[in-house]
Amino acid sequence: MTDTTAATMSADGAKALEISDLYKSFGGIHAVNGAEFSVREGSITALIGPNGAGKTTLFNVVTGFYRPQAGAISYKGESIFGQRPHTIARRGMVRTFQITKALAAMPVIDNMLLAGPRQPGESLLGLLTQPRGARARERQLEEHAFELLKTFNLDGKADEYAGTLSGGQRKLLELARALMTEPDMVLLDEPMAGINPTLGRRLLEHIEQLREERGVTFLFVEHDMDVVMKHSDEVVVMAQGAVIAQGSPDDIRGDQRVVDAYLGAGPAAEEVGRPPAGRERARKDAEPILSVSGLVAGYTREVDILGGVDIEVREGEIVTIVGPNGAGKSTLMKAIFGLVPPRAGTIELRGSEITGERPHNVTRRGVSYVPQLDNIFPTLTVLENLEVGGIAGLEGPAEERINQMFELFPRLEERRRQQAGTMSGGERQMLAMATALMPEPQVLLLDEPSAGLAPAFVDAIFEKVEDVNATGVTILMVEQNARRALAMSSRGYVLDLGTNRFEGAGSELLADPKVADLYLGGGRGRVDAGAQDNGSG
Amino acid sequence: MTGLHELFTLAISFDALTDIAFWTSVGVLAGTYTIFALGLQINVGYTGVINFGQVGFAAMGAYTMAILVTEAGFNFWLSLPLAVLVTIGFGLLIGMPALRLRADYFAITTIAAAEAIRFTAQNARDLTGGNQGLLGFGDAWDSVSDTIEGWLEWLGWSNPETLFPLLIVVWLVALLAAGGLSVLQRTPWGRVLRAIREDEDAARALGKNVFVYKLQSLAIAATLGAISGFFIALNLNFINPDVFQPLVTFLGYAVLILGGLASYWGVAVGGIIFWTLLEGLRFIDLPLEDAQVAALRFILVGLALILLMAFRPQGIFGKREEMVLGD
Repeated sequence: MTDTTAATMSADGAKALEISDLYKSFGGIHAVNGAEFSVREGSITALIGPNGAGKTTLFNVVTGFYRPQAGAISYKGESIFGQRPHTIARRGMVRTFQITKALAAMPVIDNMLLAGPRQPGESLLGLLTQPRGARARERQLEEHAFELLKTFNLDGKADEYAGTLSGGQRKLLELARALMTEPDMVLLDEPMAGINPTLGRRLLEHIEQLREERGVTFLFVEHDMDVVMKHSDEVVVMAQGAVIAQGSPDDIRGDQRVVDAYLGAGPAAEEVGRPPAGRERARKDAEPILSVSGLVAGYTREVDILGGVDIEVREGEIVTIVGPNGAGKSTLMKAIFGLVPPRAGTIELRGSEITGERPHNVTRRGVSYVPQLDNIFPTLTVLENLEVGGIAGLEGPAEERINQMFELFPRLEERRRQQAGTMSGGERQMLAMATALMPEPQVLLLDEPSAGLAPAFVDAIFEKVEDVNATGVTILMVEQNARRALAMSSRGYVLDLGTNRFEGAGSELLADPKVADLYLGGGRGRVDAGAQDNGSG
Repeated sequence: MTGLHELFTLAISFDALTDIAFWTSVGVLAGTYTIFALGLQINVGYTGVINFGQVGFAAMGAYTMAILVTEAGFNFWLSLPLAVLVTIGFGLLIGMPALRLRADYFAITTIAAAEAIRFTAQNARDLTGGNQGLLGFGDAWDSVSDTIEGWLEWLGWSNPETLFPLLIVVWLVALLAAGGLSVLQRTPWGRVLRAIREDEDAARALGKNVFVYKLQSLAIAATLGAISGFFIALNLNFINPDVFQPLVTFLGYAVLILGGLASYWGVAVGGIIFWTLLEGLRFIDLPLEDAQVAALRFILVGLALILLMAFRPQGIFGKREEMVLGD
């Protein structure tokens, strides 16, 4: 950490934002854990890191939406630690949100005018004492708003409700609205997520132009590595709540720590050759138990997150799906489980189609799913959670199955009467797996089982996954800790932008340098290709 | 043939329809509830603050006025602004801690606050007269009322209705309030309120002190609640805790929903329609007990509201787009 910080210190230019030793935790989870970095005035700085690294939490802390527990945040040399959001915004630092907050039931022009600073008419006293000043200011702001809307090609929509705009136009509106406040620094949370490449390119042009013309500083969270590498002056990398590197895009691309953060530290080289557990049991000629072909799915009308995915899982296998953020991995899991309706393609379980089945029916047919978040009932006890899990489709008495679960997860037995929400992240994850196993599924879908866990628990969870597999349950999982997961998998798939990129035996994929490139932007030219929509999820 | 005859007697008795005394009192109720529900409108329809305790503000206003006049010997006209100030103070006292809560918890707190006032009024007998209530605060108003009656006579109405002056004043106030609020809503200040209704965090991110705006919205609701309390008191010439049941707030919501969210003029129209319907249904002549007719009136009005929600959920004046896009 120290060498990269030193490198940026030597670069001239004042600091717009300096963060040191920042902490923010929720319950037992340290979302921001001693983060430390700085943003040069007038720079475009990217904030990257794997899922759960704490990027959005950091944004929320810096802009005052969350109260930090400790540390220092200074903006243009003055502390803004613990200040409230509106105060920070008035100081010239505005933000946008990951999920666009266009004020849908207000016209576009009102969205813009709302953001105008120094409007005396926004206070009741001002309305009484200087009604003329308010009207004059309103006219100025209108002029300014139309200018901005014109640069974003939104002036034709000024009088329409913001809710009628497309997702991409809303992103543009949010940026235009942020600029309306005459900011010195803008924080953008995933500005490119869910918008089409043409709009994305326009957004980037605006950002660069604003930096040139007005010296606005930008800090943005982004998952599209090509955008990050091509359009930022500096890159800050977060992992597990801390900043692990800061430097130029080229430095970052070559930094082993960054590669490790994205792919997981994984097993030592000599362990890679060890035959993985899943592969031993799964014979090459085993029957396919789950087959997905040509699957297309998405959330908003314009954007397909999955653009035709093919996956096959054979009986007894552990299959891992890896890929950069926004590849559509979680969406694939949700589509298989029936939480996202597929737009095209088929999903078959032992040859019979389950495409578009509702989740409770999917469970009855032998597929269980452990979501990445909210996968337990925090106010129920461990035992109650398991009992709830057993309600769907369990034929025998629940006690018997619960005891089997306790054998598999002895830790849960110790805590059977404890409220699930009070357990640590790793224990919760075990409970989530056990709950999903209650109805005796044939296939278990795991979404990021190790995400956000302390390193000690990561190993424990992976061991449990192997144990579960050993009881005859076929496993399909999405995992960000690609190295560790692929090493124990029979086979793996690499997904990118909602399509299959590579597939093969776990160890083959591990050794393939193209896989690492995919994570850190190997010049795939995804924005410029313009052929595919970029999505989040 | 008798059956047909009975069918006709089911119809409204026309004498009552032209009963001026009756419709004057309905008009006073409609005006009072319009003022009452305007307060709900600025909270619920424009700020997104769910206030279920509006009747508490009415009680606070009415009781403060009555106590100042009858117990402390204040001048009636001076007691009115003082009572408004006390009610605003009470609103801020509730709002300061409770507006930091999530919207649903805030709503529960406001119900509790309103009930706390009612129970206090019931039990602090020395001050409020307990269940016996307070009277004799309206002398100053009575003389004004007499003057207005004199004007009406001069205009050629021999023997005008006693409540007619109150009807004039309550609607004057209601229309002034609706007009004033409509103007205020079109200012930049009103725009911030709407933004808070849409998304508090977005408003915060653009530098708006959401908490202060919510307090202001609540203070305005308290003012309107207190004023409606004055009219309730003057209309009855008497107040006791029973007058300020939580039901009053919910009738106010019926007026609000009928008129439509996010429209101040809609509240006035909603007030008139609601009370015309509810009271007009008294004249449906059915072979039923009085208590049964009373219950039936509410059933029919409830049914009308359900049908309205099914076919025109935005109310009479609300904007459908804001409802559909708003979530």
